[in-house]
Amino acid sequence: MRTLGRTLVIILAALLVAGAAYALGSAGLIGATTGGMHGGHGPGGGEAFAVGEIVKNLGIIAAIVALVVGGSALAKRIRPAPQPSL
Amino acid sequence: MKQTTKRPNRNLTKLALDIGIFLSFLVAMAPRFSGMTIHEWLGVALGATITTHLLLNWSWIVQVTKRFFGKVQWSARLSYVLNALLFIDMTVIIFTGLMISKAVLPTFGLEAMHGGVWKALHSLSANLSVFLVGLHVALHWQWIVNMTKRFIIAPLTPGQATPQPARVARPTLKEEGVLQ
Repeated sequence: MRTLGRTLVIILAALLVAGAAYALGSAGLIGATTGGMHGGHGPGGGEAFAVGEIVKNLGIIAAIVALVVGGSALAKRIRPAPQPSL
Repeated sequence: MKQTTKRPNRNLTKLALDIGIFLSFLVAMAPRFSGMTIHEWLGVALGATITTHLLLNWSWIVQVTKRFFGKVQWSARLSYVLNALLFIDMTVIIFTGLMISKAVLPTFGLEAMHGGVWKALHSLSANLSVFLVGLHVALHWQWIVNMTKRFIIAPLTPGQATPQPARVARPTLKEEGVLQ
C-alpha cells in the first residue's frame, strides 16, 4: 500500500512535468532545434554508425565522470581536510 | 519452527537495477542501433525502471526534501537538484517520445501527433540527458565503485569471500550523505 502511494506520487509528478511540456509545446514556446547526441529518428547510417552512437554517448559520460571525480580528488589533495583539534 | 525468509540485499538490487537502466539508456539513445520499435518500447520500460529506482531511494528523497533548506550536506543538495532535473528531463523524453510514437501508441489504437515541435523537444531533452546522466553517475561514483568491488569483483577473486551479513544495517543519514 505504501509502495502504491509512493508510485502514485511519482506518476503525479511526471504528469505535472508532461502537462507543462505539453503546454509549452502547444503554445509554440519551444523552438525547433535539432541534432546532437541523440541518434535521430530517420533512416540512414550503417551498423557501424549505430554502434558509434553508443560509443560516443558512453565517451561523453566517461569524460564527465573523469572530470568530476578527478577534479574533486585533485581538490581534496590540494586542500586537505582540517585536522581535528587536540 | 520459525521459518526464515532470506531478503535480497538492497544494495545488490539497486546495483543490478542501475546497471540495467544504464545499459538500456545507452541502447535507447541510439535508435538506429536498436530500431524504432525497440527504441520506443525500451523508452517506456525505462520509465517503469526509473520509477523503481526512485522507490528504492525513496528514504533519501524524503530526507533531503525535508531538510533541503536546513542542515544538509552541500553534495546532497547538489545531487537533489541534479536528480530533480534528471527526473524532469526523463519525463519530457518519454512524453515527447510518446507524442511522436510510431509503434507504442498505435498498439493501443491511438494516433500520435508527429509534430516538429515534439521531435525537436525530444532530441533536445535526449541530448541534455547524456550530460545529466554523466553528472548523476559522477556524483555516485564512489558508491558504484564500492558496490562493484563488493558484489562483482570480490566474488570473482579467488580466496576472497563475499561479505554476506545476516542483516545489513540501514545506513544512517550521515552515511547517506544527508546530514552534515
